[in-house]
Amino acid sequence: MAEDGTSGAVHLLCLAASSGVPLFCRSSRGGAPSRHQLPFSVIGSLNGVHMFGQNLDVTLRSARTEDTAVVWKTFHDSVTLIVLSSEPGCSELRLERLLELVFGAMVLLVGLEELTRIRNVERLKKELRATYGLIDSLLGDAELAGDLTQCVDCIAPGDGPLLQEALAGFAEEVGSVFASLVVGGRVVVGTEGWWRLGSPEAVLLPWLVGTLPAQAARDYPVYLPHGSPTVPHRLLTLMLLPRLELCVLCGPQPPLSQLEPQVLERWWQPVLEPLRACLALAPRAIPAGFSLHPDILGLLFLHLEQKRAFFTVDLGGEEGAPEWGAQHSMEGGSRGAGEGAASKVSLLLHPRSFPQDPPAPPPLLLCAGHCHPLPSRSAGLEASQGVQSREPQVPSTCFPFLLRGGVIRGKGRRAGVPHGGSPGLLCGVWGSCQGAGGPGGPRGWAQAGGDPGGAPPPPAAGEPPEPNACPAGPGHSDPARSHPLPLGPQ
Amino acid sequence: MSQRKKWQITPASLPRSQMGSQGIRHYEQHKVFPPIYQVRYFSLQLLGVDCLGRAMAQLPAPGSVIVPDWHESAEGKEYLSSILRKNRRRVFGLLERPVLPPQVAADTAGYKIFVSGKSGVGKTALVAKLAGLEVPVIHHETVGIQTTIVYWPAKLQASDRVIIFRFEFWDCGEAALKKFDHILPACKEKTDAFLFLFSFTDRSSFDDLPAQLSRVAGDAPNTVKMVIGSKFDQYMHTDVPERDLTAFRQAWELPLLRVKSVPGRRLADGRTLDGRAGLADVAHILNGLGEHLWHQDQVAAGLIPGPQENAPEEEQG
Repeated sequence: MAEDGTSGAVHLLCLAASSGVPLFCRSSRGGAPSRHQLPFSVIGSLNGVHMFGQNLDVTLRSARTEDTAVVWKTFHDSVTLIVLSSEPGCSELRLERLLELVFGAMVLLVGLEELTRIRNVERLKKELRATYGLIDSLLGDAELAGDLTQCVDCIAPGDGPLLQEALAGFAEEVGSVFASLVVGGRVVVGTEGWWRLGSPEAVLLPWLVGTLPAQAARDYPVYLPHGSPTVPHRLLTLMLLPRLELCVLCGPQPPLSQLEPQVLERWWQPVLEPLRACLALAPRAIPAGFSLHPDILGLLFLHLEQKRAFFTVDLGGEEGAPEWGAQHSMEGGSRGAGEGAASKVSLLLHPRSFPQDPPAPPPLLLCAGHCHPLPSRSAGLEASQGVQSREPQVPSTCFPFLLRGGVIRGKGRRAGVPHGGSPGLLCGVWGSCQGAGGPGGPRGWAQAGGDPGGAPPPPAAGEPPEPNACPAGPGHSDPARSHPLPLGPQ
Repeated sequence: MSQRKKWQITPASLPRSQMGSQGIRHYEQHKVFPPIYQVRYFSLQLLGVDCLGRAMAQLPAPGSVIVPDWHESAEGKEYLSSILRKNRRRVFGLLERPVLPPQVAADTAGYKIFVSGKSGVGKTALVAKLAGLEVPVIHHETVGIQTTIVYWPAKLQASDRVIIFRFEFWDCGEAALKKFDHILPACKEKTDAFLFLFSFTDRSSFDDLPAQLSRVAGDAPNTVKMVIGSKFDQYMHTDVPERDLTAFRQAWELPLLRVKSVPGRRLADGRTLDGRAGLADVAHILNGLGEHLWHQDQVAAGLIPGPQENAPEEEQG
């Protein structure tokens, strides 16, 4: 219908629900932002058909044409978002989540009040321009998967405990309980408070930081879509190294000028080398010394209780192996909302490009409790590339897929065997792979569950995991508890 | 008000600008600055620098503190390579600084500069240009405060010493400034210089300058203040005629620079910004800033007479 036949385009429309005035339109084609815009008449018809239903007390949620899926969603009776996607295999669920995240992004930078009580449409349009970068990144092919998994994208640093210690000390000095280190939109380490941030801000804040152009420091007023949608907080970001940002979420104190280079150097100069090592981790997410079986094209680790995830399709570390790049497409699906977060999330990964053009490998399907056959390049290809790498290699039998708190040991071309693991993320049993990573290798995340380093701590005892429920902190609806003083708008 | 009076000088006491409307007219006719100004001020033809009141003691004449085209010399290029990487500008994190070979080590002088001006005049674009970063394609108000660090090596005229300036530009969106009351104090706190921007294509941004000057910098009489007119390339659409600029200069006795808002030159790949060319384009601004800031420091240290000593005399005269 609205599509012009080319596949792989996503259009997002945002309209004021009451008046139907378009607030903005963003498009992406082939994973990159595009200037192509839908004609006004199409925008009008899409909104019109939704409004028509509304007048008859019918909510139009989605529609599908031969190649395009359309999803409508109205937020707070004030803003209607419409998304059209002609990406192959795009599900309504994914699009609905995308709309929720986009609305979250709008609240994050503009505030809920501006969006629900639209007094001046032109001013709102102007303010919403600040969200374009983040929204374009959500529409396009980011290297992150947080939009689908609804978990925070993380990376596992080699020296997690050292960084965690520095972060905790720094956060205490500046008087905030919400601090984290972010590389390219992925959280390296975070304070306990940071991990208590609710959804969607836990996903959106690192994502936002990853999309902003390089600045030495920022002091941005942000509205937490879940925790504090009407009262702004301050997001301070400090670029310790290019692409490595130290983020602090706080109230009126401390002023940005207080975070002088001397303060930063005192805490962070001693851990400069571990910090530099983090830069090399993104977008691979796992230490470089940790080589994997060449059959493995991508990794996804999800911890649904803690809402954290590792995701990478950039495992081209093996000598001679082609770089797979970050091109990927994912299809998310779930068993319906009724099952909550404990429901299995299955994700389908398949790299789009195969430089050596072998027959397309079977996709890697990961789902809770199972590791489906891993993709394999043809045997001939393996032979030509010399699978017997000179580098120490983790035996494929030890490769852990960790889902729902359990470790599943995967093996090339065979189904994984469920293995009882400890509840923490990435605190699996390494067995014979110990030492394979070399110095700075998997040490940080092979440690025991309580280790606050690369492996974020499991929920404290007595705090039962609440799937899909919102944790405490600014993510919690009760602002009294360990909550920074909000900013006072004039 | 009384503070403002201290540094407001009657028009009659000011010397005529050496590059007044005549120079600009020459520029508009021939698309180049008159040769004398090219030699003296514009090694790179992109920017016009016009410094007022240099006959008076409080403002250094262009080129009197910093060797003007030193960055073009072999020695200068060696220093410049510390802020470049593969012909691109290097981005420095807060834990990093330019690394020089031990035999050419230089001191670093850090300054905080607050960039102020009406919404849409190009504050973020100017800072991005100075830092050698991509200028955002779509304009949007800066969400809060953002700071950018620019390292710039320069040679001092007096001592032949090389100093690495570390300019920390504080840029904030006007809407955020009005909406949140913590932003302006944070930007003004311990600032060493104010850059006031106006756009040649937006008359109201020029008319707003006096109000900005008193509102933002009114309580900081001893800091460096510079005025920069952006989008000077769009002189066909200019809303700010030269006579108004002259009147403004006579009333406010501030250094004034003109900046073109043209896309930066690219490397051979056509995508990445050419770091060296970009630096050459903004060298005048960085030198001008460094000059005034260094001079200000010297005055504060009592090494040279400052405006405090001279201002009353001028007012009497």
